[in-house]
Amino acid sequence: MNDGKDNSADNSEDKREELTSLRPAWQTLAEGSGRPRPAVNLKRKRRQQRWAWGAESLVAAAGALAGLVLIVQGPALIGIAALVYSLFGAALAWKTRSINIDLLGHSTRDYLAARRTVLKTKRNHDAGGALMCLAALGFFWFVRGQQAMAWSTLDWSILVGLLVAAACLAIRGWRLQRLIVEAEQQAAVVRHG
Amino acid sequence: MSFDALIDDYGDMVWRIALAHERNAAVAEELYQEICFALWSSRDRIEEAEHPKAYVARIAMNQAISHVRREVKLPETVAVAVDAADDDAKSLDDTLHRLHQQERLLDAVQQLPLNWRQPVTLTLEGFKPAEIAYVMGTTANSISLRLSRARTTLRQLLNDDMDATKRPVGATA
Repeated sequence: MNDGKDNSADNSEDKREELTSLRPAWQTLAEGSGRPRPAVNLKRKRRQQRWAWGAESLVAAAGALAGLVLIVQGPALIGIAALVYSLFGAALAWKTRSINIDLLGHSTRDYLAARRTVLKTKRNHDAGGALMCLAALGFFWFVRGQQAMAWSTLDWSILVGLLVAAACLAIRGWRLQRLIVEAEQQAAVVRHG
Repeated sequence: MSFDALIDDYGDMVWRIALAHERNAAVAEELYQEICFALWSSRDRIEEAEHPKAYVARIAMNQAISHVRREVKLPETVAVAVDAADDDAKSLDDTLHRLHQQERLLDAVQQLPLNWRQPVTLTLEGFKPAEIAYVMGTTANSISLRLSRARTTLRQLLNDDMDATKRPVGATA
């Protein structure tokens, strides 16, 4: 029994040594031969990060502003929903940004599980937003129809705005769903050696 | 440890991890930049980590598997930059042989499935099964098992590639 264990340990060591023998070829990959290591360009990445964060903030600010305008001038209920949703979206974007950095230091298995959770939260937020937009659209259409008045520019703006917002959120949610499926597949591959 | 020192120490390892995960050279470079940015964002944590090299490997591996593939409209090219000093020291044949060996090995590693590619890449980087288990969040036994299976496939891939290169030009498989 012990011999069997020793042999298995020896075999494992041999197998590792076989891979170790490939190390010189692997290690010289970046050492001025076939695949030279590129120079680090942090400025570009930091700029991209700032743009991404700026775009997220802009969308949230636009949503909040639209919400405030609606509270003051239009249907207040839709305005409150837009304001709360935008603020929640901004908080979620800020939180997931710091979570993502923190998660990278976890083991691959934990990272994939946590990444899936983060992606699902964002997807649910987008899906909820798209549904809210459609519900608001229906509600607004119904209320204006009951009033039997001509549609103003603000009415049309609300209608088109809700439609565009619902479409954008649905597309982003669909893309997030694809990433979730990919993360689930990767997690399954990593889990089952 | 400053960020520059971090890149001096682990930059090559990070670059090789990026290469193992992306076939297209331009996308691999983009991935390398993303990993470097992640390292820069986590530099304080790396400094406090008990095993900085393994921590850096974790960040690189996690960033690599979550890297969104983008369609890069560039042909697959291999940048061959041979040092002049290297040329003086060794014959052209030796250099070409070395380059060919590296490309074959990289190609074989890239073809491995993710659950084998990670332990193989880290073994080639000098990590032991227990350290790889720390990076991947599994047991050392599981890593040894994966390495055992991956080794057989890797050998097969390297042999297949060698057979293909030996095949006369114009011959069909």
